Parts: sequence; C-alpha cells; structure tokens
Amino acid sequence: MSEMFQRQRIGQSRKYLTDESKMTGRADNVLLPSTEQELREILRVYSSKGTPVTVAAMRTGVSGGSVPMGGDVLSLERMTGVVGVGRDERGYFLRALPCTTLDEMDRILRRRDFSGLSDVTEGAADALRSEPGTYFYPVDPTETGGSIGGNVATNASGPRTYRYGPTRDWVRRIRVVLADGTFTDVVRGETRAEGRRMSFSAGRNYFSFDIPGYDFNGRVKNSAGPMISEGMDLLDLFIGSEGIFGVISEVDVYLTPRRPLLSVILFFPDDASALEAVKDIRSDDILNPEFLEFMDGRSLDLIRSVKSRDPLSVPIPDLPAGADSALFFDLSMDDMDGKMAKLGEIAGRHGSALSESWCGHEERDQERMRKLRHSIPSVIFEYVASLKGGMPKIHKLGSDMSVPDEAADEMMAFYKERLEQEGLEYCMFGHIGNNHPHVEIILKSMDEFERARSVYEEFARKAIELGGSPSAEHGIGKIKTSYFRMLYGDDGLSEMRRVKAVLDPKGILCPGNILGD
Amino acid sequence: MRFAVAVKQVPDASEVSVDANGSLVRLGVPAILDPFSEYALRRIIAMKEEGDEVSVFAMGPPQASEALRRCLCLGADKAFLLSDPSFAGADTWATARTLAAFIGRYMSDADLIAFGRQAADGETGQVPYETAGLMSVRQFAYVTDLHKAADGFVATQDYGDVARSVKVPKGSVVSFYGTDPCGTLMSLTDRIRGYGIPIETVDRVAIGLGAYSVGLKGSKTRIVRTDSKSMLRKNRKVAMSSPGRAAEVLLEELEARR
Amino acid sequence: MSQCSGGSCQTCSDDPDRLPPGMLRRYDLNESTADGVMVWIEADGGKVSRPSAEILAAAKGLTDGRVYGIIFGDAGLKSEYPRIFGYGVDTLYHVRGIASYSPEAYAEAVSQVAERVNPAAILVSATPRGRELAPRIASLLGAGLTADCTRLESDGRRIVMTRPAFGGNLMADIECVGFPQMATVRPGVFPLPEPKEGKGTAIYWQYPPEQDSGVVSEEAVQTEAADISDARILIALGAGIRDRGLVDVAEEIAASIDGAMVCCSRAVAERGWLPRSRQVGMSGRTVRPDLYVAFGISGAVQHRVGISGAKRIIAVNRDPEAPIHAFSDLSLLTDAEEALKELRDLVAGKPRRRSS
Repeated sequence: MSEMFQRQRIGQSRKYLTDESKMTGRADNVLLPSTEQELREILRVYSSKGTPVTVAAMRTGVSGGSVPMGGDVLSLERMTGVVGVGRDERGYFLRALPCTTLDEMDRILRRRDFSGLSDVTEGAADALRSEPGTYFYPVDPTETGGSIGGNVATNASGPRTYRYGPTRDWVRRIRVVLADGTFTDVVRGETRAEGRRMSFSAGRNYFSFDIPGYDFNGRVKNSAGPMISEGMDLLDLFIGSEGIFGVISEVDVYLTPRRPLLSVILFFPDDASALEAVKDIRSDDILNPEFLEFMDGRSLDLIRSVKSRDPLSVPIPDLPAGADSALFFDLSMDDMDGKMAKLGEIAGRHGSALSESWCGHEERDQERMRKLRHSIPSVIFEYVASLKGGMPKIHKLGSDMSVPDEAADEMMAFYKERLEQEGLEYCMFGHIGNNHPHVEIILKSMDEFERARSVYEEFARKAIELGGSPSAEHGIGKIKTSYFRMLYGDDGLSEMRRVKAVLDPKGILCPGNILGD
Repeated sequence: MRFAVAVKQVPDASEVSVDANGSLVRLGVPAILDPFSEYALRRIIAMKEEGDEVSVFAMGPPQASEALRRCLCLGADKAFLLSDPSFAGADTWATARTLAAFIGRYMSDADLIAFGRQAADGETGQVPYETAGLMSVRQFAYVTDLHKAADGFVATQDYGDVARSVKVPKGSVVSFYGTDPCGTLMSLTDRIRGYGIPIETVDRVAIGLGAYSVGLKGSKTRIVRTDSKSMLRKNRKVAMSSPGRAAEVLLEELEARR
Repeated sequence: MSQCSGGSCQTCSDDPDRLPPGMLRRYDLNESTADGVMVWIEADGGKVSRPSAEILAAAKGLTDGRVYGIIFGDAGLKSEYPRIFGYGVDTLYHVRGIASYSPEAYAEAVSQVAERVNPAAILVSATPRGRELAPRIASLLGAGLTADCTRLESDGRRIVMTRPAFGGNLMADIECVGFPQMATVRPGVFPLPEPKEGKGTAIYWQYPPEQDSGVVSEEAVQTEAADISDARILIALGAGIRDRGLVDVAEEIAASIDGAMVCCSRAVAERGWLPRSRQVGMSGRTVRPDLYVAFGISGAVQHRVGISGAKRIIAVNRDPEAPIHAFSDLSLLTDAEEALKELRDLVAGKPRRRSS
C-alpha cells in the first residue's frame, strides 16, 4: 500500500491503548501524521473504508477519551509546536499545532523566544517581545504536559478557571478536519446557529442541522460535552466535543499579561472554618484571587505522616502545628495594604490569622506551595498503596462535581453525611472557589468499593439536582457516558447522535466518547 | 547580642538549563536569595532572643535589594546593600576586602559574623575565610550547630572525617554547612513586617576603599577564557521496549568490564 | 632626560640600549622573583592524604623551579619523608608546635614559610580543610586564589587554572595577576602516583606555641574504607529512584561485581539514603570510573562536573529530554527503577546459569 502517511502496528506497545484513566482499549495500528495534509489523507482513506480512528495526543486525560475501542489510533504527536503569534482587538494570541504542550507554550512565552514563528498579523511577534512584561495562557489544568488540542477538545479547566474561565473562553480560532478529510477554519463570532439551526460549509460540503434541544449548564464549572444553546457559536460545538465531530489541526488561543502574584496558603483550625472563609473571600471585591483551592484536615494529616517518614517526599517546610485545614490562593500584588487588612479580618473571623499562613511571590516559593497542593493525590495514592497489604483490589475513587455557589453548603453537607453514614474514609481537596472539590474515597475492601460506587452515583444525581455538573473538569470520555445521559436524558443523547450522524456519517471519529456505544 | 549575616543574590540554579549545544540558558532565570545564605540566616534567626539584633548585608547591584527584602521578611532587623558600580567584577579577594571594610565601619561591634558555606553561583566558598583573614578574627567552617555560651558561642563543626565541638569567641566568622532542601516559607505577618523596614545602601566611599581595592580592578584573578561545550559527549539514545531489555544491555556492559 | 653630573658620562647619552658601566644586563625591579611551587601536604592520622599525593605528583610538571612541601605534625611524620620526596618534593618544611589542626595557625605558618621561599604558586587540595585554609593563606599573602580547579597548565612559572563555573556548565580559565598564584585542586583530577622512595631536604619550622584553640572535644566520624574515587564501575542513583529499597538492590548489584560501588546524586544524599561520601558532583566527589551507569539521574548541571572523567557513561532514564543525555555516551530510555530491579535479577541469576 502506498499511502502518504505513516502507519505502525501497535503490537506489544500498550502506550497507545491507554491514558491516565488507566483504562485499556484495543487497536491495530497507530497513525502518525506529521502534517495537516497527511491528517486529511488519513481521514479521507479511513472514511471511505469506514474504519474508526480514535484521536490521541499526550494521553493525559482521565476519562478514557483517547483510549481506542477498536480500529486505529490517530496520534497527533508529530504535529507539535507553536507556529505563530498574532494580535487582534482582544489581544495577543498564539497559533499552535494540536500536540503542542502547555509547558512548551509557557516556555516560549516566558523566554519570549519567538524565533522561527510567523506573524499571523503583521508585527505581532515583535510587539509581544517588546511588551514590558511577559504574557501567559491562563488556563492551567494541573497537567501542564497535556496538549493544547486535547485541552480544546475537552474544554479543559483548572484552578485558574475560578478567575479566567475554562479553555473555551480563550480559544480564538481552530482549524477542524472533518471525518471525510475536508477542513474548515472556525473563528469565534463568525458562524452562529439561527435559533437551534446550525449551518456551515467546509470544502465542498454544506452542513445544516438542528442542534440538541437542551441547554448546556454554563453557570457552573462544567465539562459535560459541548456548550449547546440557542444561537450558539459553531466554535463551541467543537470545543468540548472530545473529537467526535472533527479533528483539531491548529488552534489560536488568547494570551493575557502575566501579573506579579502573591501565593498564599491560609491555615485554619478545622474544615468548617475554612469553608466559611471561602464564602467571605469569594464575595469580597478587593481580594479577587486568581484561584481558590481547599485542602482538608485529612489531606494535611496524610502530608504530615509521609513527611515524618521522609521529609523530602514533599519538599516543603513542616506544616504549622494546629493547621487542620487550608485555603490556597493567589492575589495580584496591587493594593497589598487593602488586601492584607481585608484578609486579616476574614481570617480572624474564622479562627485563623495572618500569622497562620505561608506566602511568597518568588517562583521557588510558589512552586513549593503548588507542590503541597499537587502532592495530595499522590500522597493519597501512597496511603492507599500502604493499606493494600493483602488486599490487591483496593483503589480510590475521586469525584468531579461542581454546584452553584448557593448550593455549595448543601452539597458539602451531603458529601459529609453520606460518607459518614457509609463509614467510608475520604479526603477532600481542590477547586473550592468553583464549588468543585475532589472527594477521594479511600477503599479498603470490595464491599466498600460497591458502597462507594453507589454513593458516588448519589453525588452525581445530587449535583445535577442542585443545578450543578457531575463532570466539572474531567470530561465525559468513555468512563462517564452514563452521566451524560443522566444530565440530558435519552432525548438529549439521541439529538446529539443526530448531529454526529450529519458531521461523521460513517461514525469513524472517536467511537465511544460522550455518546457511549 | 548583635549578629551580622552576609548574604548574596544568585540566579536560581534550579531554573538554569542547558540547551542542545550545551550552552547555558540564563535568560529569564529569576534571581533569588542564595540558599546557603538563607540557611545561615535561618540558623541565626533561630538563635535570636529578646534584645538581639540581626543585620544582613549583601554586595550586589540595586536589584539585589530583593534578596535583602526576603531576609527582612525572614526575620532580620536591618539590611545593608553594598552597591557601587566599581564593585562589579570582583573576585573573592576583592569581595572579601569590600565586606571586611564594611564590617569594620558598620558592624565592628558584631558578636558574630555568619556566612553560608558557599554561594550557589560561584561555589568557591572562599569569601568567609578571606574575610576572616583580612579582619584577623577566628574562623569556624562547616558549622552544623551553634549555640550561645558564656563569652561567646559553642559550635559543632563537621570536617567529614572529624566532628568537633569548639568554643567560638565573640567577633568570629562562622560559616554554616548546609542548605534546607525543604526551603522556607514566610507568613503574611512576616512579610508585612519585612516590607516595613528600609534597606540602607552603602557605596565604596562610605566604606573608605579606593577604586583599585574593589571590583575588577581590585581583583587578584582574571578569567581569561570560558568554554561551555567541552563536556558534551556523542550520545546515542535508545528507547527500550522494556526495563528488562535495558537490564540485558547493562549486563553486557558490566560483563565487558569484569 | 636627566643627565649625569658634568655631562661627561658617555653611557647617559641618547642611546637607550646602552647599559651603565659595570652592568651586564637590565633588571626590571617590578618583576617578581617568585619561583617554584609550594604544596600543603595534608596528613590525616600521620599519613600523606591521597589528594595531597595527587597534587605533589602534578606539581613537578608545573614548574621549572623547585617543589616545596609544607606539612604539619609531630616527629612521627618523619617516616613519611621518603614517600614525600618520592612524589617529587625537593624541600620539605615540617612545621611543629601546633597541637591540632587550626586554620588560623596553619595559615600563619604557611604564609611565613611562603614569604621565606617566595614560591610562584601555592597549591592546596580542595578537601574540607584545604578549602578553608587556602583562602586564609591567600588573605594573609594578598594572593589571588582560584577554587576547586580541575586542570592546571603552566609555562614553567605562570599557571592557567581551569575550574568549572555555573555548576559545571562552563569551564573557566583563570590566571592570577601576581605572585604567589594560589589554587585549590579538586581531589581526583590528577592520577594518584605510584609510591616510591626519594630523597630531599627537610627543614623543621618551629611555630611559636599557640593560644588555646578552644576545641572542647573531637570525635572521629566513621568513614568508609572504600572510596568511590577508586571504583572502576559506579552504579549511580538519582532523584528518579523513589523507592528507598532500591538502594539495597543497587548495593547487591555492586557487591557481585569486582571494583563496583554505588554512588548517588545530591538529591539522594540529601534524603540521607547514602552517606555524603558517596555523593558525586559539584558538592560531592569527582570520579573517573571505566563505566558510570546513572539510574534516574536527570543530570542537573552540578552533577556533570563530577563525572566528566568517566570513560563511559550510560544513562538510564525514562525522560528523553533529561539533560544527562547530552553528556552520556549511551542513553537507555526506560523506567530506571524497574531496570535496576531487572539488572539485579540478571546479575543474581548469572552464576546459577553458568554453573548449570
């Protein structure tokens, strides 16, 4: 066969069959396009054969979105690199190939290393280089080794979503290669649905179809599929669609000036005090933190216990005695006097004080504070591993639910009540600013596993009932398809399948994602 | 008691990287308070009692006041920046000369002069002892422990093969052994306090040294050439199908040298 | 131009090349007459230390003049004289009267002797004592001092000293602007000479009785007999090794191979998993084994300087971007922890397979 693209047998290499969800799939070959032409050729050939392809990039997802369920894997790993800089009325943007990692983008922006990049708009690279400060792409999923294409396809979010919103808010334009190999550039604001009728052309194709009748819940942090609504932008149909409608081959994302920030960890005597303080911080208009993260007393205890065995396992100073809950946030460094006065007042009201804190504006200090926060999942993992002993089946189960501010108390109370009723051990940490903590249930037996699963279902239902999302940031992938149905019902699912049938009539793109089997 | 702690601002070594040609990438590397200096300061702060005063001083460009600011936030009471265009390019001799002159003018009543073992950028570790020599005071290297005693201090020194406990008379120079890999994080209260203390700038004239005693002109050594590539090797990278396969390759290499 | 009185002197005529009567050559009084190399000989427990022996062997090649040694200790050191002369020392100053190591008194004595012999260079090993002693001497003599040199080149008098800078990223060649030129020299950079007996001049130097040095107590720290500087094969562990049990695994491998030892990067030494004496790099030892296998060492720049003398370097690291690859001969991209365990199994299984 003389095809114009590279194909390799997967054979023994399991790398392409799994992602960070640790779910394993099956596939015969991996396709490795280096250019957009090759990518289009692949899709044209596969479309005519009707062989499914699952799109993969850095495989850092946790919901199995890039895990193949038969057919071949379409890995974009060779389509990598920032290619251009531009500037429009909103500001500067970077143009990048889909498998460019966030780390790489950050490196280029920090060093202002724009050599070899093309100007998407004239003089943009020079202008960005001569700005007084550096710029950054503010969406910061914890996994910065992930690809920008994957981030757009899943509408990724992270701690800074609290202030900056999810990926969607930062995408200017994407190029999408459709199932038959045709492509189209989708620019925000250029193509909108009329009511619920979406029409657009791509190459020789003209598409016109009804979008689903449900409205995507944009009030809370939500990653359950594309943002469907009346009059929606075509760009939003592809963002968060997890590859089922098309393959992203190029992305423009906006940048924003990097501001000097003071990272703060404020310690509290107990979880209830910290959670009360969250409300005060959130409703205050002087503080305006960049993000607001929570670490509960149980998480801090686990950190203490691993540090007592090996102080360097988490390279941070010892946690202060009496610190049994913590909030972590970044403040911009203007009006520090006002902010400190305000923060002192809030801390004092909830059993803490400015002296019960860590802070730092230097990169190494901030890195240590991030390490504390980011070490929690691995510390839990180690704890679980230490419990394993004779019980190899033990693992952990983490939640990913967000609710609106007014329902936060009820949801938190529900977590606590149900977990305590079931006698399950858990830790809670994460994006409390978006009412999106991760509740990690530590399972000690198979019996607990079953109970935890059902509690977890209850949490999802409760979150939806309170106007929230059961999948706030991890996407639907293949693991959470039942939540998609739970959210939008059978009607929503079949309407979505109809859209899929229009854009990808042979159903070759990423089978299993969002829509299930 | 009065303590004087010499500190330095250095590029953050953890951010320094090497590019494909083996050249040093220093662009955008943040300047930080030297971790050895920070450790020494923390040890002194830990000894501080009511009525004691800890002063820090650093030689460097105006930006080095950032490092002194951090010292103030970590608990120092006074800070001096030794800054003058003529100080640039100093080797360890000229640095020691400048520091000794400063101490003589501003800190002559210090009960202890503390240093870090070395600075993370130069890594010579010579300045504390050259300073002590110029001041004709006793020097105590590799100090792992220090506490107050009658008429001075008692230090524990670690020479690698010998650990010794020794009386430290007042006015001596000590250099602390290590760094703290877990770092230091200050509280908001510490920060507010540290930002409220002014930093005094001291120039060459203020310490009474001539232009040929400081900086490059006052140095006893010259860098004549630098080379960044000599350590690169012709590398062959092989992706291993499994760790077991790698072990087989290694075993062959080991066998070949049995 | 000034003239001699009376204007009768012909040598003061306008010809600048003419010498005054009785003068055979022109002298530059600003030119130092310093000559020869002086080496501080560290003698722990009455024996010449290995780093000092290395420097002594190299010193002869650095000067057209004499090699001076200076050693501190009691009469018991006399038995070391033949060895010291065998290393190439012409004149040995033996300082007595200082009861135990004291940087102030040692530096004072060295500078007194240096003022007498006027050496062109003074070399000190960059051992813990040497590193604090050399700067003290330099400050007394007003000498330029280069720390931690890894190479010395000389025209017979002036020495170019090379040292790693910026954590070993850069090699800097340094010269002193005057005499004596001083350097501390990294242990391990010059080969250890074969001991042989020699003859030379020994001079006693009585140091005035010192004041109380204030030492309250002194305790020898247990040091290992074997030194990683001597190892032919080194199994090196870095931050990528997260499981402490793997240190024992590495030790098992080393124990089964003659001349092999386990060493580590700073991260591992800081965890306390291996003693400091096993740490390789800028703040540790310099090694020159035939084979250096780095498991999970990212190759922080500071590590590089310690291993540049290795004949062959193999990096086992999963991260293809790790800096260590740039200064390794071969890189095996795989999980270092697993590879270490597999290697142990292979090494352990080897004799059985042979015997069957």
